[in-house]
Amino acid sequence: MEYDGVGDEELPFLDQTTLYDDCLRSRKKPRFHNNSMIENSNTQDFISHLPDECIVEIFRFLPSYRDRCSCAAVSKKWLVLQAEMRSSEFKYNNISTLQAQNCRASRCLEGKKANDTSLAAMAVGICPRGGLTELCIKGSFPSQGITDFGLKIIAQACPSLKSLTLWDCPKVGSKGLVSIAHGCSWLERLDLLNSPSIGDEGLISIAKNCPNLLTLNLDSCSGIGNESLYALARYSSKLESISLIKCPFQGDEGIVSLTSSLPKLEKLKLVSLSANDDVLEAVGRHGKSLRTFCLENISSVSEVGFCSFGRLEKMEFVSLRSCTGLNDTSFKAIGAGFIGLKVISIRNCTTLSDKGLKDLTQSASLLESLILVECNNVTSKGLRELFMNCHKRLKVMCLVKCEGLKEEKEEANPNSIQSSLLPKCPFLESLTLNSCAGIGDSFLSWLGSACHQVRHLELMGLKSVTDRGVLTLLKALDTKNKALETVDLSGCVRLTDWSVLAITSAFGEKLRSLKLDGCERVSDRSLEMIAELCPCLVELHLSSCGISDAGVLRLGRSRSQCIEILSLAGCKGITDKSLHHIEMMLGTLVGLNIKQCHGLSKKEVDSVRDIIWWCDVLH
Amino acid sequence: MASTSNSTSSKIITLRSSDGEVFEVEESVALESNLIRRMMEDDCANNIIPLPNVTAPIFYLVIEHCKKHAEMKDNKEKKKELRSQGEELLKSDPHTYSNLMEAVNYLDIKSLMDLTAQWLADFLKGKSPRLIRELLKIKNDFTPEEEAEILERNRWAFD
Repeated sequence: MEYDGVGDEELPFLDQTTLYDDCLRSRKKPRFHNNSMIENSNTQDFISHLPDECIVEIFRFLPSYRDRCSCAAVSKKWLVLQAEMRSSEFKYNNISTLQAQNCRASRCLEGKKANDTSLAAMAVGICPRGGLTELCIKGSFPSQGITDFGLKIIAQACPSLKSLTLWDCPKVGSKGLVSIAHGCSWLERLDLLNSPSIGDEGLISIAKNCPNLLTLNLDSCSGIGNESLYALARYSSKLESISLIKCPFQGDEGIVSLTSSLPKLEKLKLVSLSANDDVLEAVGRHGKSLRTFCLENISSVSEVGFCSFGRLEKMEFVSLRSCTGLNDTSFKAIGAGFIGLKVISIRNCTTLSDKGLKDLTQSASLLESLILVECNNVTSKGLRELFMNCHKRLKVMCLVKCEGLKEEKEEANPNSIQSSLLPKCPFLESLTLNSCAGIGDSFLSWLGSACHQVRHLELMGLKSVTDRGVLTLLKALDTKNKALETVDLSGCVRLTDWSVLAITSAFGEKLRSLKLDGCERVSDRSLEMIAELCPCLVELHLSSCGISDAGVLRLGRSRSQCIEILSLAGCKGITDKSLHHIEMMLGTLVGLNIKQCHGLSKKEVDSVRDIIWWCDVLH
Repeated sequence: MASTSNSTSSKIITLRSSDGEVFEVEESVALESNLIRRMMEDDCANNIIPLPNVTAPIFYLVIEHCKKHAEMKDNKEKKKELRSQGEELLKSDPHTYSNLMEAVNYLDIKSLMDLTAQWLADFLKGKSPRLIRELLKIKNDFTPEEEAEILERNRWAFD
């Protein structure tokens, strides 16, 4: 039937068609537009004015993967449209073999490259291969960092994503995380650092939709509060590891509910939060599977909290740093409760006394590693108790900035602690003494009596130690097996060539790393010995040592050298001649530090750079 | 005025293009368009169906291809022929191509959508991003770094 009326009837018809138009659109899959990514759409070309669904339709018919990549590189609009397509949308899907080959794929975007365009390009590239399993984004340019849109594309392209790391992504909000939660239900690990726009909504969605979540790290995410923790407690029953750092949750209820409802929790790290004794009590009551526990910079816990731990038999690694409430009673409770303890690190704790150390180590008889940093009330008396209790198993001993460790004044006194020998520690393989100002020669030789098989020896910044102390310590070591592999004597300013002679002659054969930074009295004679006696040496640090060109010449001439890293920074005696000697070490060197060597000319340094082009030269 | 069918056995649908031209189309052909189908289901087919987004010359093309497509359903030779026509059209008159595609999309004709999409996909096949931009006059809005990054990310596809 024909219609003969024009004019008045035009309007209803128009309405009708726009209505149909709308209904037509709603039946088609909507395409997401991000205007921030597509800035200037050019009207000149005849393809761009086509609706997005037409262009997507065209892409569907692209015959090969190569053509898809070509098209993605044409313009931002095309890239985005491609990135949003799932591999099942393509008509010729001949890439199943690729998918099988690359079932594990991991990518990391850092700095300038951490933007949506890169993510979209990656999505196009990775989608046919089954997507990524691991993605790490470390932003640093807030103005161009990734957004929710980028995450949405990733969520679509990588349904099998297992690990997601977002560092410094201020533009990512809850919306992006919600897309991930919906698209990547296999997520096992989520790591968020300094991403303040992400709120509870995002994390709750993750908790609800990603039942396989095993590891969660939240650091400096101010948008995340207790609501997230409640949701995790309720839905994420598989969680094994949680780390909460500098997130201003309101109150402790969230953390309490988290620790009390996750039976599989093995690792818990709480740093700079408001956590009180209730949290510790919940940990003690419910954390039966806990193996690692880390508490740092927590100021509202007390002795009562630590005493309420009770028995946590599986606990192996404990780290306590700058916490209140740690006194003799708490350490005794920790020792008694954590009977399987293997590693303990206590930092910045002036309330750790000799008695505390004794009580702690008495029941924790399995202890293998002890790290004490800035524990100024520990003296040689406490140390002796420690050795008595743990000598059979002790492997690692690290004492840093412990001002209480001092030389005894009356060395001749037969009752003094340091005149009696320590029990031998047959398994002690790593000994570190760093910046403990009170430690001198006699202390060192006293400690030496406990050592036998030490492989890694670090004596750093011990300003009053002389060759005598080092020599007596070395004497205690097993010279037959030549156990020593790495030696660091940096900052022990009083040491001379004698110490180097003792080390190289007794242990040179297996020595792999020798650091003498700041030992000004070490001279060319040491280099001569190193060149002759240390055939396996890989790393040699001689910053600010008293060496000259002649020493470097000896080093360069030695044929059996395999030095990869050499530091000569701040050596005053070094001139351009040394550079020619260094060239002789051709082949093995990969890192050379010649910063602040004022005797070197820029021209010569540049020419050396050209000759050993593969080596990283710092000047 | 153009009549596209002499058959009296099937119903005739009357359509009007945006430039006022009126077409009479066999129902079986018109129903290829999901848009027209829905309009008829909603009972507004007693009047002339207005197509405000399609001009007469383009509508001719649509009808023509609809018929061709219906004819070649079981004929592989003709199918090939029809597929190869796309390249000529794209080379000689890309504007008509894009108008045709737009109309097909608007009318929601599945078979022609596939055909026209296939045409351009064939056209794009084996061409480098730069050549595609040149031929289709698409502006490169990537920064040099972004472009390098994209090619780098997907380099394995080009080896």
